[in-house]
Amino acid sequence: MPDAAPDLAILAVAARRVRWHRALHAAASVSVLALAASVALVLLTRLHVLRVQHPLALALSPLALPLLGALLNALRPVRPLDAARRLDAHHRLHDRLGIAWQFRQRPPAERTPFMQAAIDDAAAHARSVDVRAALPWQLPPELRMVAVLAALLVLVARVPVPSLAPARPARRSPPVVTRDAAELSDDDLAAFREAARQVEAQARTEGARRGVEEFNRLLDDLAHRRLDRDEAFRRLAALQESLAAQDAAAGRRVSEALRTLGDEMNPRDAATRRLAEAMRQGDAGAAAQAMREMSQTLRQGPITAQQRQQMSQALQRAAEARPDTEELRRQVDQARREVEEMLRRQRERALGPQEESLLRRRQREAERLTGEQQRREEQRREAEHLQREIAQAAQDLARDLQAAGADLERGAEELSRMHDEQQSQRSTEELRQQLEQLRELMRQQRGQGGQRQRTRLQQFSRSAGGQQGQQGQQGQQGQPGQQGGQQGALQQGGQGNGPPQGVALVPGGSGGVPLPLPGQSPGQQGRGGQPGQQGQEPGGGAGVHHDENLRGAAIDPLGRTQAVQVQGQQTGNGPSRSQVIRTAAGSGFASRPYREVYSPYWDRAREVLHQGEVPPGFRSYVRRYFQLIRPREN
Amino acid sequence: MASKVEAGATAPRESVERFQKDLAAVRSEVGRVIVGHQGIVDGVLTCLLAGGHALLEGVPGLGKTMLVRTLGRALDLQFSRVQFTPDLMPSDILGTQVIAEDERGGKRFEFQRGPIFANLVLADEINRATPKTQSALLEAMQEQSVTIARKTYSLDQPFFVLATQNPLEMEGTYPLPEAQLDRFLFKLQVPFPKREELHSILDRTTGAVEADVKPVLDRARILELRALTREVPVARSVQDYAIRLVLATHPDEEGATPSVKRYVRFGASPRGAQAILLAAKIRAVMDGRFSASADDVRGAVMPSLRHRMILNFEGEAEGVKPDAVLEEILASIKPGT
Repeated sequence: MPDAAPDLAILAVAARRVRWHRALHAAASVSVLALAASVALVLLTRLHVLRVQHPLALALSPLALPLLGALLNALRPVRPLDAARRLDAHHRLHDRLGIAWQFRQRPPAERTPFMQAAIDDAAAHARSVDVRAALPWQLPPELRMVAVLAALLVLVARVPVPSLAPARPARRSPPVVTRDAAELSDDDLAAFREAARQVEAQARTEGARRGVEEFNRLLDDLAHRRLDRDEAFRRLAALQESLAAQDAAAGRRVSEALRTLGDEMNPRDAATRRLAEAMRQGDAGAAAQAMREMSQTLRQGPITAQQRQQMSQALQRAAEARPDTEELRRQVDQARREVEEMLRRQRERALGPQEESLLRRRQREAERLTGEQQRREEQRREAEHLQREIAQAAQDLARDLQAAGADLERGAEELSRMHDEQQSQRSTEELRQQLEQLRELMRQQRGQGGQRQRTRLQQFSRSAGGQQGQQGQQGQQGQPGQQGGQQGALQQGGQGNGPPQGVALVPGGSGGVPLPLPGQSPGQQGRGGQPGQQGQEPGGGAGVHHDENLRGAAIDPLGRTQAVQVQGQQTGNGPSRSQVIRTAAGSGFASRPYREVYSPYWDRAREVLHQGEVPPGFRSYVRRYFQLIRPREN
Repeated sequence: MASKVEAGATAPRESVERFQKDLAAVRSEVGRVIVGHQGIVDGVLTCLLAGGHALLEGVPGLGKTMLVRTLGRALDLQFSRVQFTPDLMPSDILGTQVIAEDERGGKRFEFQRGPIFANLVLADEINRATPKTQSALLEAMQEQSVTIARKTYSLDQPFFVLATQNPLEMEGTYPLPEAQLDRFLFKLQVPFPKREELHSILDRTTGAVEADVKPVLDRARILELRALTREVPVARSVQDYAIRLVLATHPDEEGATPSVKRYVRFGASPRGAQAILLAAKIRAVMDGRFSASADDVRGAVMPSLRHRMILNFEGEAEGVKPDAVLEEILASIKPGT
């Protein structure tokens, strides 16, 4: 070897030393793992978890690994250049040894005088190189861990350990299977949970919060399929009743009470304009803010005498505002007297049909007026406390601005409370709508969950006059109905919960969410034909007549439409319908964020739904559609 | 050439020792006038011996011009100085044809040589001249010759240009394009003197006695030294280290550091690697060694590469200094890895 020549033989010495260093460090590193394994084996052996013939041999066998590691590293060659670099670095030789070693690799004929001079120079410097100083023995840092593990090994081997009986495999109870479980897709559950979060954020009262909690529990149970359909509907009904028991009109009363106060205030008065506007709009939150600002103005000033007077007058008017109940009371008295008079006549003689009809109308009118009177009384009570504070502020304005400011501050707090009521009513209303949607969804639910319900409906249909109900089974497979043979039956059973038979499935969608098509779920409202059933005789004429109260033209009872079946292919790969729509809207051609677009559209849709422009049986489709295309978090 | 230098096992040692002795004499003579700036003096000598040119950058009054003048006196070379101004024309540097009258009254064109026909040319405030004039000088630097009226005049060797520029005053200046900066072997930044050095400067420059500088190195010896430095060998590992350092200045290369990737538009050219190796060889000989080491390469990186890296917009906007980027490269690229 060229590096083994006498002038650079020191490189070979250094390389050997590097190999031994490496072996030592490898042994220490592997020892940590080996000792850890030994500890584990000894422990398992002593606990009788591991049963072997020679436990000690097995437990100590990992300790051979360090020797193996050390041997491999000791045998692995070290480049003399690497050793030379370490010597050069330690003795600050400016790479003399490394360079000389490289030059020595060349044949002597190719070496220039300078190369030879460099080799000679390196050899001269090599005489003063101390390999031990350059490559000192350093204890591996892992030694501390080795010592700890060795101590632990001794401890585990010596300390008595109670023998553990072999653990019997725990009997796993069979999973609870809920028969006819109500099922919701993950997408639907996510939508309802998101809605619940929004409602919870708005909820201000204990009742509203409790409602949201119960709703969340219901969703959890549905998600884990812990409820069958009957139980799910029962829980839904109970929750709806619980919400209905809450004072649903409280928020509306607050708004009306505020409007009464606002109407009495002068809209041109600069000092109270904002308060008056907020009250006229029935917005308790804005009114509270405006009142706080007025309070601050009074406390910090400056305020002119004229402003003071105007403010005092405006507040006084608001404090004295009362709902107009005098005329109403007169009307109530009048209606009651008329009813009593007619009842008296009825007792004396039998009334004619026209008189009977008039009596019933008068009774209903009296009830309505009484209800209105009670509502106004509640409205008055609602604003009573606020009006006291306002009246006090109007009085204090003439004497002490600080006191008036404090009065208004208290009034603002009262308005905040009223605002909370408004908010809670909104959240309760929202929760009610969610519950209604959930009920609707479960009604329309397909698959195994709705089997019993459908069977019951079919039995009902047959017994109510329809024939050939057996053919209805085909409808479960999505066969569209051709004739309205069961119309008569369905007219009688207008509240039937029959599932929609025509269902559009997203092509290729694995998690396709069924979206019932209008006109193909006749069981809902008792219109149209029961798809898939080959009725032999027409029913009693369902669908022939048209309720004038409903918007739009009458639906053709013969259903001369061509139903198209789209068969979903369960490939397990395709996106859901909502994902398709979302992708196109979100990244395909939209220039505004989808979330910003969605909200106004959904608000407008809700407004239309609220105004009743959509027939009741179709509202759920609109809601469902918007639920499916809602913006997701990611 | 090697054959001229000496042959045999002891020749390199003697040559190196003589080299060190000559350089020490030059340093000593320069040191009689110039206080401090030892790194700058060594850098300038390195450029001279490597056959390259140097660009000195520093604020006015730091003694750049004085350094070059003193070096010219110590080297016994023909020295000329050109003060670059916006109205300076190429002919003012290279020379021009003038009409001359002979003995018989005939007239003919005669080439009158410009200040570039010298061994040591000081291009003072080079960035004040227009690009046209700058390029005339830089062409001569590259070609080592001047062509006027279809006739080529070779420049005497050694031909060494020392250009200066002020980094602060940018009004009315024409910064050298990157392609022309690449012609300079080194870009040396002249630092402000320290307190003790300032004392010495004041003592020397405000007294009645003016230091006398004697020439210690002639033209022929300089050419010998140039040839000697070319003989210095470079080990493969050292050359590889220099290449890795140059490649690391390119943002698309594997070894590029985060700063390079973020702030550098284009890295150093192969001329940068040449400059590093030549400078490393000279540093080794200056230190009395016979081969360039990785330390020599590291020491040559800053002056060789700082003007060869083109920063991108982000780097310019954030005021990133090429030296900072190079320091990061030196910290991340280790020899022999």
